[in-house]
Amino acid sequence: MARDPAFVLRYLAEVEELAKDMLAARQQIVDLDVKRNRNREALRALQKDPEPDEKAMVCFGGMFIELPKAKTREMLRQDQEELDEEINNLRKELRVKVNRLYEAQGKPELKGFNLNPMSAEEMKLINRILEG
Amino acid sequence: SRSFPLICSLPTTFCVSRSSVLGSNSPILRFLPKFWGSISILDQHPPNFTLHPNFGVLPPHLNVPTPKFWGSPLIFGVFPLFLPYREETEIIEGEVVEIQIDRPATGTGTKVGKLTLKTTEMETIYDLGAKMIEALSKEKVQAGDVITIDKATGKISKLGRSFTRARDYDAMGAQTKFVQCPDGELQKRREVVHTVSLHEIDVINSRTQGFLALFSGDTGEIKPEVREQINAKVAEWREEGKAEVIPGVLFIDEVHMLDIESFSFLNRALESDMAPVLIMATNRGITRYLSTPGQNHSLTHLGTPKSVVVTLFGEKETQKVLRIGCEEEDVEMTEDAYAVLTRIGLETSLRYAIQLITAASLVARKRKGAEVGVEDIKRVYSLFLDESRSTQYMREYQEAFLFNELQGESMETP
Repeated sequence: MARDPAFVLRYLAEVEELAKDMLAARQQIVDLDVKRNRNREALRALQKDPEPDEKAMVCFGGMFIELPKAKTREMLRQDQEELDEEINNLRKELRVKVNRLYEAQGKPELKGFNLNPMSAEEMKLINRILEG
Repeated sequence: SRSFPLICSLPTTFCVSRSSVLGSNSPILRFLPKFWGSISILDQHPPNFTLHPNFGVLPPHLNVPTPKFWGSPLIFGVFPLFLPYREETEIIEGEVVEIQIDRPATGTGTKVGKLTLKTTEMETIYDLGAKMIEALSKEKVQAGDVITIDKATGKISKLGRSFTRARDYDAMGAQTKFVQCPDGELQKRREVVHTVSLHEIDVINSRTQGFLALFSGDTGEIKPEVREQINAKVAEWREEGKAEVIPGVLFIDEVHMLDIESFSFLNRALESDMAPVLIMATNRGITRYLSTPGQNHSLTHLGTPKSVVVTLFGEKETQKVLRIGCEEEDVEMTEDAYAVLTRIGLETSLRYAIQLITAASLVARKRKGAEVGVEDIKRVYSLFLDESRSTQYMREYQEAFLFNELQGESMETP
């Protein structure tokens, strides 16, 4: 039952690639969350700042730039929104990636109900109904 | 996937049979879809179910469940329909590094504080408001605890203490649970799939007797308006892919005890695309409907086109059931006796064979035998008549009995 070594090599490479892909996405989520939390801390700091009209030192990739605080806050907020969106997209992709990896490894697909989530209001409604 | 009813013929009143039907190595399992958890079992003993279909329209005459016979107040208590739905929540999960709460010097006024959380990958500081501080102190959160905070509701729950802090104290409660410091991101998304049965939704919504009706089972009829509203909502959720309806498995024991109205209801209910897998158990082949004397086609109309009839007991199964029966009765039996008893079970009825077990064990005990042997079985077989032999006996000695002049009304066995 000797397999063609070239085939085995190709197969292993494929699995490795898929696994790397998945791990990269997972790491990226973590990295983005780190950034998100830093931004949040910065926003809080700006909000509590006793002198809101002055300028703040903002660090862009190793360089500090002095910017008006209102502008800085706006930039941070925009950044946060983008981060949220990106993390959401990555999470969605992650599921697909995990399944693709499992398929390549010959493992059964992760089973769920494939349901879309209820919205927050609907959950509130359901909980209220079920709690009587 | 369409569900289909199964009719199994087996002696259902014998308790072993029920577990062998629903047990893990049951032949029926092969026919069932994977949602094996959701079984409702309707048993006719005692007949205490209320009439309430979850889906499908009741024939009008069924709206008043009047008991005609003891067994017929039918009973579609629960069509098992399950509705899983998914909830997505954002949670913050991490190990508490430090909690710092500043009390105002006056003693009153708003408290402010800071909470430092970390995972294996990151660490961050949250500013705390008065409410969060209160929640944290209520949960007695200290540095070293692993906690989750529900982002939407602000609910805090303690998962345990971090392993890294395991050596902080020597004496601690037995209930202290140690967990790993969470890895990955701090703000996670958690998906929870809840399941609710449609029956529950109905009952709570109808509120004829409040929430408690769900537990007492005393729900009465669900009003059509309520049902329509619920159906509409559920249909909407299905459309949006937010919920799914899983028909369960309905097991009806002693199905020949149901009357014709029940069957007409069942028949209609099975047309619904939310019909459950129906397993009906009976030990009759063709018998009459209750409440319809003279019509001899009960199970057949459900039986022929829509269902799969599974006869559970061949020789192997019969012997297995007998072995379980012996075990239950603490009776030892020789292999030869098993063989004889199995033969009897196949040729007369399984129930008769089961009943011989106890009698034979008494005979064996009387002759001070340790095991039930073939001669004991033979002895009780000669002492106790089975159905066909007793019928034959009655026929033979018909003239010797009272009321023998009633012609044409010969003894009939069900």
